[in-house]
Amino acid sequence: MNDDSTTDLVERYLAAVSRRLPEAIRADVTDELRGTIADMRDAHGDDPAATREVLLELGDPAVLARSYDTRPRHLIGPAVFDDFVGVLRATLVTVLPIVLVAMTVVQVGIEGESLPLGLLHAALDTFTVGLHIVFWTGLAFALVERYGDEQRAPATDEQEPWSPDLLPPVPPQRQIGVSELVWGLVVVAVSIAWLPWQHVRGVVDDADGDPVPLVDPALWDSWIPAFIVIMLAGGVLEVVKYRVGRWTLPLVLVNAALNAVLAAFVVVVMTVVGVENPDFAPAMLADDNVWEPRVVGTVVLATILALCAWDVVASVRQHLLLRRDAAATPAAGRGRTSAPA
Amino acid sequence: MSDDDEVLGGHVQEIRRGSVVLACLAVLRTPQYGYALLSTLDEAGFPVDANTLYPLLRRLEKQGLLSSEWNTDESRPRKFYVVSPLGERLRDEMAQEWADLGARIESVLRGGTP
Repeated sequence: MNDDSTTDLVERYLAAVSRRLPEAIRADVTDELRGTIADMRDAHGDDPAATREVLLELGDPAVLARSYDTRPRHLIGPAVFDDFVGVLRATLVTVLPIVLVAMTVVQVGIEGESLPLGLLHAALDTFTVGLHIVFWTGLAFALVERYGDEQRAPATDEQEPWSPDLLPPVPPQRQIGVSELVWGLVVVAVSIAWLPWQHVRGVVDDADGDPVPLVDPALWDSWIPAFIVIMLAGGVLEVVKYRVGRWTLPLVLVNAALNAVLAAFVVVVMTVVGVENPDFAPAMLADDNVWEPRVVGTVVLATILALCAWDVVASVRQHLLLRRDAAATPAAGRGRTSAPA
Repeated sequence: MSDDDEVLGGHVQEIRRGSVVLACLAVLRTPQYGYALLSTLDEAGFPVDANTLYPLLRRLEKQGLLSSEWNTDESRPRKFYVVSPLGERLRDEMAQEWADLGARIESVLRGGTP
């Protein structure tokens, strides 16, 4: 009755189950299963299709093996999943834009590529950085999931059992988060660092091969230091903003004042004093580049003014939202927040 | 309608889930091998799938509620399971819990309060 093809089918089934079992129980489970299949087949009588029916009854070998072996079959489990997503999101959201902007500046400003090509290169670099972030973060959390268990296991004796006293106070509703702080500081750092940097690596070189800075070096005696002071004040404001966490009225006023000072400063320097290095345009033209200082200057000026204005408008809007919430929930900070956004 | 049946089936399965363990611990007062246990349980009104029962037996053995022994006297070697002393004690406690639960369900179904 045990013709070759049915025996073959059973052995193939057993092999499919056993290779998925942990070594320690493999032989034992396989022997027991072999006996069981034989018993079940006998119960079906002389039916030649019995083997198929029995195996169908036992079901998918992978599923059967899994019910013997209950080790976790995931890299990152529910206990750390939320942290994983949180860290991943925070890292990607803060790092990738910085990389994209920085690499674009490097490719276009320093390597001298055209804007579309520079953007493409920068995007590819950003993608690679993103892959690295996802991989290493995932690996770190997978290791925590695998080997960090002892510390979170609820049943260990030395660990204090959870009680309501352990609940942290309700954090004040944040309007200004880490990403805003990082962005603000990066903008400050880049705009200050660029000023000396252009003396080292310029967009164009002069006849001797030395870089020609875009900003008039004569401005270093007073205007550039003043600009740096304004930007540093902006950096301090970013930190204070983050510490306060909300757009309170004093913050809105100081922020508006600083933006006004920066806007006025930039207008005066760019239109009255003149910012462009007199040697720059000739060097640019000698290098076969098209250079329209007036157009570029106008675009830069308009962008800076628009950013200043937008910053003030956005802060006022946030402040109004804060006031509305305070009015809606008299016991602010007691728990519920009604703001949907 | 078939949706309702599906919902009902799921809940009935939830209710039955724990009963198989208790039935196993009751039936295995006398040693039995897997397939014989499957038939005994089936006749007693506890239809279980083979692919559920075998992993369950192994789990109970690992927890120390069952002990097992290979019998190679017959032509087909078989693994016999029997309730351990620990298994007997826990079975009696589970049986008590089962009876209490039945009484409590009965009581709330009749609309009374315990």
